[in-house]
Amino acid sequence: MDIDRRGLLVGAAGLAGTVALAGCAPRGERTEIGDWPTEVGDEPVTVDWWSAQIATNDGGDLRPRLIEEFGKAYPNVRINVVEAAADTDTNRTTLTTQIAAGSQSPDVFHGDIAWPGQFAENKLATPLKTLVPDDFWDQYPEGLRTAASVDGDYYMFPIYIDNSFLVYRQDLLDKHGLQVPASWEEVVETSKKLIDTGDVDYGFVYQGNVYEGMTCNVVEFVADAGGLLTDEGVTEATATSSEAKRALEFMASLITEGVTPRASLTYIEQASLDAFTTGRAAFLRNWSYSYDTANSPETSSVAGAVGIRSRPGFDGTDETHTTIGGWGSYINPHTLVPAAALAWARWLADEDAQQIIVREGGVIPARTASLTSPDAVAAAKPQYSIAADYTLVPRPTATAFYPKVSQGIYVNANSIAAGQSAVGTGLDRMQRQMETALAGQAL
Amino acid sequence: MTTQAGTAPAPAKASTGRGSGKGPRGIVATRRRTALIFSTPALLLILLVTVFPVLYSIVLSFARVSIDYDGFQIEEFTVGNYGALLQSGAWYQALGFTLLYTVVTVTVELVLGMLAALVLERLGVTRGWMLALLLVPWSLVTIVSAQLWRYIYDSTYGIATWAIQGVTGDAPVILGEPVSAAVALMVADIWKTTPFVAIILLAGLVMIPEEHYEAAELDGSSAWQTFWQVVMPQLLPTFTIAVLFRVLQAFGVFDLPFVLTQGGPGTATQTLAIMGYRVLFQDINIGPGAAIATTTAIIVGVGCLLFLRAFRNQARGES
Amino acid sequence: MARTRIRRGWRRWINVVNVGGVVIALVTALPLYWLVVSSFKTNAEIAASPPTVLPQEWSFDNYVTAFVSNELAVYMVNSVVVAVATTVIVLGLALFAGYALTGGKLRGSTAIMTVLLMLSVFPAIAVLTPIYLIERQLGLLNSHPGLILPYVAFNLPFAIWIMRNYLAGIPTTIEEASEIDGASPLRTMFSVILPMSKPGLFTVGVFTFTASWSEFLLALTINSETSFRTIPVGIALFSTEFSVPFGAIFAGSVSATVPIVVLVLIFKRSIVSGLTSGAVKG
Repeated sequence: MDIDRRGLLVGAAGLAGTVALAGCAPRGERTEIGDWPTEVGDEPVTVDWWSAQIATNDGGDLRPRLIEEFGKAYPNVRINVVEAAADTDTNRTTLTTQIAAGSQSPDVFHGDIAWPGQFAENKLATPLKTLVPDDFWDQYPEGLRTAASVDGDYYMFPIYIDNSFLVYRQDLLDKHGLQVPASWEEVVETSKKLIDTGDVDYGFVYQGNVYEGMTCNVVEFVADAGGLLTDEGVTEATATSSEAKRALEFMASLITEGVTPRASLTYIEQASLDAFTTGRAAFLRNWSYSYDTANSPETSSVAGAVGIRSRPGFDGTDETHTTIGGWGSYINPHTLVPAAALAWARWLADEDAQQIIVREGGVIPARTASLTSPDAVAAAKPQYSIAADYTLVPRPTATAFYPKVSQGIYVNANSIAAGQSAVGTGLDRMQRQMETALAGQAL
Repeated sequence: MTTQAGTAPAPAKASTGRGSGKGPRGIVATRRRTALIFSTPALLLILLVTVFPVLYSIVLSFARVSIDYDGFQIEEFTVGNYGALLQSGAWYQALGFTLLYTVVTVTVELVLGMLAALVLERLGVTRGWMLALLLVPWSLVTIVSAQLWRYIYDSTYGIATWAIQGVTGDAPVILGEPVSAAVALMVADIWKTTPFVAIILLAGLVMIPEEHYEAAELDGSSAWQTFWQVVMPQLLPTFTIAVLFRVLQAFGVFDLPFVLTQGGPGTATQTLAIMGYRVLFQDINIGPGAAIATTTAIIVGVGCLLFLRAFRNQARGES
Repeated sequence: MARTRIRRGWRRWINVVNVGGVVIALVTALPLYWLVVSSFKTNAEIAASPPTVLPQEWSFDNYVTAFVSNELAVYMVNSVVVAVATTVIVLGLALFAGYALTGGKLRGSTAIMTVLLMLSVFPAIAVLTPIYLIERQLGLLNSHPGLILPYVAFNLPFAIWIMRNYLAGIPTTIEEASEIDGASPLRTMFSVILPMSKPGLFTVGVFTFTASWSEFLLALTINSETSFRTIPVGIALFSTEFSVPFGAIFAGSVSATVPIVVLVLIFKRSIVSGLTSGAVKG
């Protein structure tokens, strides 16, 4: 036989073979949510837990401790840790590939707080509301509940959340006899004074790069101004509201008045923290880890000279706002150990685990009561006491199209802040792009 | 996988009636059978492992796809994904940038690689050391090389930032401006890939017989003339292959922009592969993502076909 | 043989070739120097501005982090196994296939070459999910063959192209002479073709090895278990959510690259002679 015919036959056979293989793919038993077992039973069972490091107070890993404690409550359940990348995008890639292909492993995975919308839509996580008592979710702050729920159902058990804070150079304030600013207007004033003295190059820095972190900052400023970028159910965009206008005008003015350097529009978390720890900036908005890093002599040249407060509001407002970062547990719908997976995911969100986080962890617990418990007070972390008073503002994550909505926000906000677009035109464009995204048309 | 051992011995000369090795028809048939046996393992493997995934992806690109508990569900067949691409400003921008990136990096690498190969060819004792040195950037894991350059370009403590600041007095934010980010990306790629181009070209260079150079020298040709009249014509097959595959790689570049710029600032350095990744795995938008992959393949494929047609003889290595 | 001229006087040292060589060496080596030197700096010094040319304080902390808190040794073993196996298999298959596709032995060899080209052109991100699907069915997840198979398939087209290109340059007279001598095709292959294909083998070998060594997305998705993880994925895991530990990353990559460099230095002479053996052609 000459090459052409034989090649064709072989190719066809191979093709048919692989198609057949893929076609009759045995999938994990898709347990109907109605009969999801909740009783763990006595036989030994292993739960694969896809997770990244949860920081302890001294930079170690809290997970072995959590697993150990869980073992006391459920001695027959073994937790097997599968190491995940800490980067949210890389994680999402792998998890999407695996779960969409019907993989039964991992059983429980550690996921970003911004994923519920997407994961619900694409059936990559299990709806949880009916698996726990109705009042289970009341343990968490309202903002967090909004962030974790999609169409009235919950897809994530929160583990820990992250809030953003204003970190500042206490030593410089002392040196020049200045007060800790109580509003954004005062931050501007104090920054200008400090820059004039020559002790710092920059006043206030934040993460203004064209990425998700900018969305966090924008949402926060808009909340400070009293508004939101979308409606409650995240079906309509409200980017052209007067509150959004005020917030973006303020962000643009920070640059034009020299309070924030243009470089800040290229900063992601690490870069903004570097600007602060190398002594160039007086004020920094960043997540809770930044305070600890800035005060540690191994990583900062301004260690010991750092103060922390909540993000201020505008003059005349009392509420302080932060958006919600953090991670939670999602359950793989194809898991072969549904009861055990549920037990583990739920346990991490419940009192025992949350108290361990308070006592030994370096992160903020999701559970409201834990944040104000005696253990939390004893831990004496400034982040905890500030977090207890914060008003949490969720990003518009309850939609399946969140990454594209976010892109509409951060691209245009960066352009407005940089002075490349006028506030009005920029917000109009943001509105249009958000609307396109919410309609599922954005590419 | 030692498939060769399983398929040997090749048809023996005397034992079969046909292909006894005597007479031209017999030899042709033997040669063909041998060639068949020699090539089947490789081709079969490629077929089995790559054809199904590629076809699967192409099928998905023509569908509205959703993910259900049972996996990918094709809701309906449509060309809407391609329509969306053609109406998407982001896609045209990614295409334009990828083309620009390909043309610039391949050209620079070929020129620098050629110069480097010429130098290497004339080195005596030090050639071995130079080759070893040139292999090191190539042997670095791409992700790590990208992190190294990210460190070099960092706006607070990167050495490139400090060097430029020393010269111009202005602190640049290299990865923050579209133009400088693109240039930075290309420099990192060129640094890592030129050594390999140089080595490919060197292997072709050394095949040029000494006599041709001597003849040119006797003719009184200058170095420039010698290069274009003696070296390039003989180097053309190697050169063509180098261009072809460098273009293929550059068009599909992913690892470097993924780590260095994430396609940023904004979408300024978003290549087609990065956009495909974003749409597929960040937006979890399967149909359009597959369409991006397929159109990329078509564009590069057509480009290569045209290229091959133009350089048909050289590519086949016929002398 | 290198075409070396005899130069007299100052041209012996200062001439285009030598100066060019120095420039090339510097441009190549400077970023590498930065990589190595930074791996020995403490985290505070890595973030120092202005940057220091030599570490003020030489520290092994990063290496400890790479090997102890992260299991770099395991990752290195996995990477070596996968890369070496892929390279050997690709070399073997491509040598034979490349030879088969020269000289018009097969009808439709041009068509095959074109199809190979088309296949190698398809972006890897799009085939990630289908490949995962197949491997899940075949139970190849979290194993060495799970990576070796796709890597071989992805690298073969380029390898076949290169080998074919080099082998096409071998005069058919030599082949025919061997045939007439009564040698079987395998014999021809090993005693005649193989020695003359060394530059091609070297090029393909280096390319395939480095491609498999560096591959990230597939390795991340298919071998997610620690015991089968490869170096690129392992090093990517050094990063935490908000910070990239350059020191540890550089230390990890220096450790991963040093063995390769040592090997290359040891086999320097044979690499050079293999690469330049094509020059014997008359």
